[in-house]
Amino acid sequence: MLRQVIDDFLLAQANITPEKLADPGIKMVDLGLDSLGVVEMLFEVEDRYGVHIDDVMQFQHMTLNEVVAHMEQIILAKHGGTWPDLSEAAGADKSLATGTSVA
Amino acid sequence: MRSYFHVLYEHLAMGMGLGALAILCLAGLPFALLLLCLPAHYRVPLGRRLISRTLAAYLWFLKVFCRVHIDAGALDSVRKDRPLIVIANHPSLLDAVILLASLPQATCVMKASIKDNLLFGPMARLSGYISNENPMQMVRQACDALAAGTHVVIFPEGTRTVVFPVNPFSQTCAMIAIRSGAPVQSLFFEFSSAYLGKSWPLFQKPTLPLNIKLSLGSKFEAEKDRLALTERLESYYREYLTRK
Repeated sequence: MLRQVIDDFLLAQANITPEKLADPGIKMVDLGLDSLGVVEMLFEVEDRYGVHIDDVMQFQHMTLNEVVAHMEQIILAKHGGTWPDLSEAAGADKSLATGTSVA
Repeated sequence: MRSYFHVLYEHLAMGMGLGALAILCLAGLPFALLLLCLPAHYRVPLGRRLISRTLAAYLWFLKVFCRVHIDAGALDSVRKDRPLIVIANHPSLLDAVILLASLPQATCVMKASIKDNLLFGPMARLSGYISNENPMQMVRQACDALAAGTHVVIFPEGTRTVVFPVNPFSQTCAMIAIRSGAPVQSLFFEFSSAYLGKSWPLFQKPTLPLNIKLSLGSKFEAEKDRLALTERLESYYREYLTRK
């Protein structure tokens, strides 16, 4: 589910090719995203799932699959072990668009 | 031809100017260290006011004793405006001083190394200035500051100008604008000489009088595409400064 959100973002916003995303071992550095591109991707996850990610540098040397797995853990930890309902997360997304803090 | 005394005065003015800044920063150091113990909601506004007053006193000193003429009237309207991302070209060390002296409640995105600088670090920490060390936190803190009604000062060149009229712009400013929805207010600095620019050695005397003019540029609303907004801002600066 999260992987789909990230893939959609990378395809639409960062112009990453589907071939790159299909590679299971592709590393973040090899995606060709600049540091702000990674930040944008993480904000997308934050906005949807209401989590708070601080250390962007930790993802630099991970594969995309590892990043997704890591973020899934953060999301599950934040929501008490259950996957959040995206319709609720959309509300949080709306408040962020007006400049409200994620934390 | 300039007289021997004028050249001597320029050396003296440089010594006085740099010395005054060091003395003011060192004098503020104990206060800054003491005030760092306060909770952020007391500390930050107090720190920003302290920095603003200190830098205003420093600019007054430069005007009176060092023949530095500053026209920063353009900032009067910016000060009263809604929360803005305030951007400017960065030809000299003095332009940050002028902006922070004139915008008492603004925060500033600064190089991470400044936080560890003996002279400026404690004051910067006191005032809650935003470090560029972690891009995620930088964008988040800038958006939070704007949501709280504070101007955010950014130099989109990232460092002082090396390649005139401007260095390539970083996309940070555009990202903050897109995420916060705050408009970007452009400002232009023009200096009569490159004093305290990137290629000007710290102890090389200035050519006096030093005239500094700050002009108000256009206000840009946030766009969806950070690259497009960055390119728009950069080409606007290039065009304006090349025309001058």
